Amino acid sequence: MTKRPMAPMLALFLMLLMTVLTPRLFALGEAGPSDSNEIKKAWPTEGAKGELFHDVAGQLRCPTCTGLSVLESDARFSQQIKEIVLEQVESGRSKDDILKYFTQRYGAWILRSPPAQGFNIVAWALPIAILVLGPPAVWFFVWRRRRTVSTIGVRPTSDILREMDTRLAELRR
Amino acid sequence: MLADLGFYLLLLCCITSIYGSGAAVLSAVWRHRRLYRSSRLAVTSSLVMAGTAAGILLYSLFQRDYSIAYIFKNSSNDLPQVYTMSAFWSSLEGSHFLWTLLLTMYSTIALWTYSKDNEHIMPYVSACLQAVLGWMFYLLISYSDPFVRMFPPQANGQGMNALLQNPYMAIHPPTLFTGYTALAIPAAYSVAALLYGDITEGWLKTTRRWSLYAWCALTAGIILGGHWAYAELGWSGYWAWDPVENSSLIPWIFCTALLHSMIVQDKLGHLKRLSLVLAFLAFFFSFFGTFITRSGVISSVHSFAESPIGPNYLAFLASMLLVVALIYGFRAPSILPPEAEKVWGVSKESALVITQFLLLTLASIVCVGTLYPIVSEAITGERTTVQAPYFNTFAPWIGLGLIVAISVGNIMRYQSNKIPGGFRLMLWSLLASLPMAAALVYYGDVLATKKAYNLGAQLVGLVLCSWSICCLSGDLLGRVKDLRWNLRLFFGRNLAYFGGFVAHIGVLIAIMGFLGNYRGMQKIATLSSGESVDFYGYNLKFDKIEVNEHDNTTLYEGLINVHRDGQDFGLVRPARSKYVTTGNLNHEIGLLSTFWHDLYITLSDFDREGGKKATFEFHVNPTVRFVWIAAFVMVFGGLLAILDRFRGAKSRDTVRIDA
Ligand code: HEM
Repeated sequence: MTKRPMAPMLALFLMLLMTVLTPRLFALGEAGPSDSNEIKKAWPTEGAKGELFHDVAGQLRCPTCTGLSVLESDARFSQQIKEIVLEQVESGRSKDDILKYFTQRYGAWILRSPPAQGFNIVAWALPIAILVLGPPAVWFFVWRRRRTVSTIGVRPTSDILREMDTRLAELRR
Repeated sequence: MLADLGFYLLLLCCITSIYGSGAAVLSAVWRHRRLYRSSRLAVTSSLVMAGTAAGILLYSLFQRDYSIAYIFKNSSNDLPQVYTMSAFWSSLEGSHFLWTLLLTMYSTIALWTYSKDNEHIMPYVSACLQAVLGWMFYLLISYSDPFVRMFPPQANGQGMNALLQNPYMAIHPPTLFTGYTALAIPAAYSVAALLYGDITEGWLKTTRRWSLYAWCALTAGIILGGHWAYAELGWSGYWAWDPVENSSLIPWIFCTALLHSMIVQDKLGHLKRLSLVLAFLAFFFSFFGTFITRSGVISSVHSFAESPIGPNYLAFLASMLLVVALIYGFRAPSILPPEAEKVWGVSKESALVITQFLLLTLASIVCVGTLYPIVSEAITGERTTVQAPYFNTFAPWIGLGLIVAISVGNIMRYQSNKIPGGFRLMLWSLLASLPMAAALVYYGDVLATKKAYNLGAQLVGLVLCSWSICCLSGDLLGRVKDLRWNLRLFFGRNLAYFGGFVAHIGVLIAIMGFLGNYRGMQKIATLSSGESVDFYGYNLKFDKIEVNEHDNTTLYEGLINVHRDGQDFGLVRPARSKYVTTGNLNHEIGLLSTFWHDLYITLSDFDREGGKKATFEFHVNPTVRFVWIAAFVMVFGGLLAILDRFRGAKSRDTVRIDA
């Protein structure tokens, strides 16, 4: 059992409780221009390096948001991660290397989709299984099968009518 | 004082709902008409009381009565009027209250506007609805009480979360909740039909109308939410596949599936049980979504136990599922089989079954992706993340399947093994669609896409969507022609068909809009005053930072002069806003929106001393407007379909145009 720091967990929980409508709110709430006079750097968006940066930063989650990558977020934490990514991109490391660096530090949690290893294979296998096994299942259960009906307690209208007729006949007698 | 009154009214609502539910069950068992009427009066009085309580909360909000904790936490003296109103649903207790109020309202409407043909199942409908209401009201007086007092009362509140101070947030939650709660009616009708033992004459007509209404509201609500995210969060997208969004999408998918299984049910009598199950699941998942987003369980399984509302929700959901599953298990066999012969093969009903498969697969994938982090953490203890890249691996394939199913499926015929004139129609459509796709590619500047894969995906998508639109239009024309171009007759008799047509066109427009995500572009630049950058044909010149005071905010606006091809587009003002009460800085995006793309600008940072230097993020987001237009088209189609008077009326004495 690894020890989890309680305070951040508690904070996260409170945030979620408060933001019913969208937990994503907090993602950017804490973001803001730096207090110092230094202006945030512009990330590269062009060229091979820019593309690699884009690619890698798009694969890493913003630790304090729900749903966003560090690329899309300007929360403080995301800024730091982007700086590290940029540094590594510039020092010529490959995408896999950089992602590995982050998974070693933060665990697979930092990746926006779970790597298909170990238990996480389930997450990928399930949709594929549904897609592959679904059509035969539909064929088997819907197309082919003849429905059997249990008619316990249910009578066809004709029976009811016949019964009513006999009753009426009895009454008339 | 008023707050206490509000609380006691909710308490009474809880009691009347429980009474109403019990009375309805007994009235069904004893066949006691007056008891049923009494249960209907119970829900009506709940509506009056809950409405009064809501009035009290609203009144107190406008009075800025900070002795109520909810008002203290969610509003402040400087809050503009609109947001004072929307503060009602800006956080847990209030939005729960709104949910319940809407559910009470729709329950009451459903119980008073029933059709004679459904008379026999109405007691069960009433029982189901009020059982849910009883539990909702119970939460409102226990864990989620909006009227909790605060001592001592404060002079000013803590203010509303700045991101919620957006016009879309004033209408998005009520719209979405309308959809969620209206789904309760089809669900209640389904369970009622099971309890009663068969589907009554008027069942389909009523259920279909309610489902369509819910579907329209959900469609509008989801897209309004996307619009809010786009305009407010500043990350330049409208859909992030985050759990909150997913949990609104899942009921929508189920509702869409329900509409289509009811079509088969109407025409042929097949898929009755599927309709029952889907109607229940659609509502179940709207509840479930509320549960996972409110209980804190999405952040981590560990935070789940800390909130009392979480386990409570779980217990309720589990028991609801169990009870309905039992009812289904015992009663489903008594639902009579259809009289119509099964001619699956190449028929429209087959296409609709495939549609069900595609929609339900999509729903499962969204569900798996949303829940996986919780489940895997519970099992392995390790935290994982499932975000957009995961969903984006699967969603396009399902989308592809749906486009093909829409076009081919709609030109098929029921109970037939061939498509009359089908190949001709498909071929002509292909011919007609090529210029259309070419125009889309040309004006949308699709060829500027860098990656080959993205380019290919867009080309395939655009050609298929255009083809699909042509197929659908061809089918429509064919039908009108069969009626000798008598439009009066066509619209008089075929509103459901025409509504479906419009809705499908809407779906296709939306998909064309989504394809724009494959070619979005971005540039980030730090500019000094007077400096400019060129981006995607635009010349963007930074003027200065302007500071403006608004109601309750200070705006730091980065003025950008936009030119393109010598044409002056004026100033765009991406900004950061600082709220007096919280001191947070939020994005106010700068948007220059055209039909083919949006120029979306955010101000990431600026120098605070002189306002002479700033970093901007520029995005070009293609075809975003398609998505907003698609929303209107889809909702319009849904509303048209509601107006149809014939669908679901089996005994209609007209010739079916649909052979
Ligand atoms: C996400 C995708 C889709 C959406 C949002 C959608 C929406 C709708 C709506 C709102 C209606 C009107 C329902 C009514 O009148 O009760 C409708 C009808 C219909 N839809 Fe879809 N649909 C979708 C996909 C499909 C697909 C893939 C098929 C393939 C077979 C299909 C076939 C039909 C048919 C046959 C009708 C009935 C039209 C008529 O009355 O003749 N739909 N659809």
